[in-house]
Amino acid sequence: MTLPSGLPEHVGDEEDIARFLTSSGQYNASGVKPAAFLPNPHNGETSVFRHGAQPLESFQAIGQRELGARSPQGAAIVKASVVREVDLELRAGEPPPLHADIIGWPGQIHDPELGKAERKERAALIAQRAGEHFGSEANGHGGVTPNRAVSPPEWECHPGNLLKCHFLSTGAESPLPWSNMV
Amino acid sequence: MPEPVLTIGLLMAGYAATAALSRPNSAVSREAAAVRRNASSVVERAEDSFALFGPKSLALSELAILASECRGQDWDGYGAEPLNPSALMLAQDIIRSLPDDVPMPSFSVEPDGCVSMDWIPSKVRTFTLSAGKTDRLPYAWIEGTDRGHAVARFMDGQLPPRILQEIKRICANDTSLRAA
Repeated sequence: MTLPSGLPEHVGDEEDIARFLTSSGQYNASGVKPAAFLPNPHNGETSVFRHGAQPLESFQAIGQRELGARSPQGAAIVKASVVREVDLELRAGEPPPLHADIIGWPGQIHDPELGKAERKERAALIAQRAGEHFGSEANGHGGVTPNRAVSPPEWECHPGNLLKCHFLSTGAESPLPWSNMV
Repeated sequence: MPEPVLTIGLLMAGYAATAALSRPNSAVSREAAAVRRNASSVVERAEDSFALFGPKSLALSELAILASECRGQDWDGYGAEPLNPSALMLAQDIIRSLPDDVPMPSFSVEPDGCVSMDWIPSKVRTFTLSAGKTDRLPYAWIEGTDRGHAVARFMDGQLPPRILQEIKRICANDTSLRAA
């Protein structure tokens, strides 16, 4: 079955999943922090967007439209397979276009703190892999060589996908700082 | 007791004890209130001085900036709860309690309004602990293929020694993290 966006209802393992980052506390020079992927306390789901071949401008516009007054500072990107590797699942949920949720987070109703600890562990595992896909490509395994320097110059991004960036100095992958791209 | 003598006494008692005294409690006597006022004053002065307080002062400043950023409803655009004031106070207490040989964490606010204290020395090593509304602290760690999660209790103004050891172990040989 095809969704209004044209994407299939099933989120494929090879799809890139993006979580918009709106707080400076959700990332640092080393990468994305676990809290960026923790679920919303009201519905127990983590809202994400399926990131296809959209140009930067259109994807950034999605973030700005869907997150309201909170302009995204960047996006953390992982493969859908990473989410499944930590025993979570992805469910497409349009509208809005390209939207999906990470579902299946553990609850532990009898011990809320223990449930939270387990969710933190899984979120940390996802955060640890955020950007890893690009990192392996940049190292030559995927045949893609980043060739576009952006401002500030310590950033370098995937030529066909400007959401995937890393720090030149350390090689660490990082979410894209929108404000530095324009 | 004359106030200067009391202040000196608080300083001699040590910073951790003074910080504990500065927290609101159920004491109602005039003397108790005076002790708390003086303790708060000493703590504020100590935290204002980078020379005296160093990385802890920096960490508390970073936390204050983050708190300001996440104080409103839906600060993340996904419906997050505002930063919980109790969680913020607990995170501040944890920072103040850290021994000098434990690196300072970085911070993030979680969608439920808790404060996440993160030690992430590398891509494959993470220790993350949540300060929330109670003294029970959910935490998780990853070290290569080794990982796990549990709950610790912040008792008597201190993290359990095994948690401190675990943080130090995960951060060992990392020069990018600031020691307390």
